[in-house]
Amino acid sequence: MGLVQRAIEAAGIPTVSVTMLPEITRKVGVPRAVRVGFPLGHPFGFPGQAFLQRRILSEMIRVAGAAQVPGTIVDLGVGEGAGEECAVCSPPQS
Amino acid sequence: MGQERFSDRVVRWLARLFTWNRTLRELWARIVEVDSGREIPWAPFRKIPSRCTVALVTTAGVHLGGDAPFDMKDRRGDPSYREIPAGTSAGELAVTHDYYDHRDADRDVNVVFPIDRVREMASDGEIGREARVHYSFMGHVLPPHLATLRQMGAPEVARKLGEAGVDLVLLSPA
Repeated sequence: MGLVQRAIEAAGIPTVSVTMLPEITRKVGVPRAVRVGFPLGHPFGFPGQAFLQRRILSEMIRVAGAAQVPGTIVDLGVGEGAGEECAVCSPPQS
Repeated sequence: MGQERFSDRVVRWLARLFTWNRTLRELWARIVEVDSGREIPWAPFRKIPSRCTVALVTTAGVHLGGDAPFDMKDRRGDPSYREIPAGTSAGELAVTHDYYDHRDADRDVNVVFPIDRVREMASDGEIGREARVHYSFMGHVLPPHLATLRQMGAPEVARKLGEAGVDLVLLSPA
C-alpha cells in the first residue's frame, strides 16, 4: 500500500494511511500514517463500530494537518500493544 | 483440480494465521525486505477539512459486487484497480482477497473501507464532500506485477485523483 500512497503524494495530493504494521510502514517510508493495534484486515476495528471507524478517520484528517515531517507515524493508542492514551476512544475536543 | 483446491485451502489457512497472530506478523514485519529507500514524497496539507474533497483508497481488495473480482488464480497477485463511485453504499461492495481473513470485512466493509462514515462526515460538514470516485487495489502484488503497479496502476490513480480535484486521500491496508 505504501507504493500507492507514495505515488499519490508524489502527484501533489496529501495522504494519510492506517497501519497495523508500523515496522513495515517505517521501512517503506510513507508521508503520514496512524498506527492502530488491530489484527490485519481490521484497520478501522471490528464490524458495527461506527463510532470508532469515524474517530479514526477524524484523527487521520487531524494528522494530515498536524504532521510536519515526512515519515510521521502517530500511535492512536487503540487495540493490542496500545501504550499511549487512547486518541479515538472519546469524542474530539472542540 | 484437486491439487488447486488444496493449495487454495493452504493459502486461506496461512492468511488466517497471519491475520490473527500478532507474534507471527510482527516477526514477518521485522524480516521482510522492502524495495523503497528513496526520499519520502511530501505534499503539505494546509486546507480547511470542511472545504475539502476527500477520497478513500484501499488495498483490501474491495470492489462493486457487479465488477470483475481481483484475480486470485495468479499467485503473483493482481496489479489492477477498481473504481468505486461516490454514493456507493457498503452493501453494494464485495471483497476478493485470499491473503487476509476478510470475514469481518464481509460483515461490515467499513472495517476496511469506511465509505458510509465518509458520507456521514460530508453530510455533517466535517469534510466538504466525498470524491466522485474512490479506488481499490488488491494488496498482494509480487514481481513481475509489482512493476505494473508501480509504473501504471499507482500513477494512473494518482493522476485521476488530481484531475478530480481531490484535496486529501485517506488510505487503508488489508
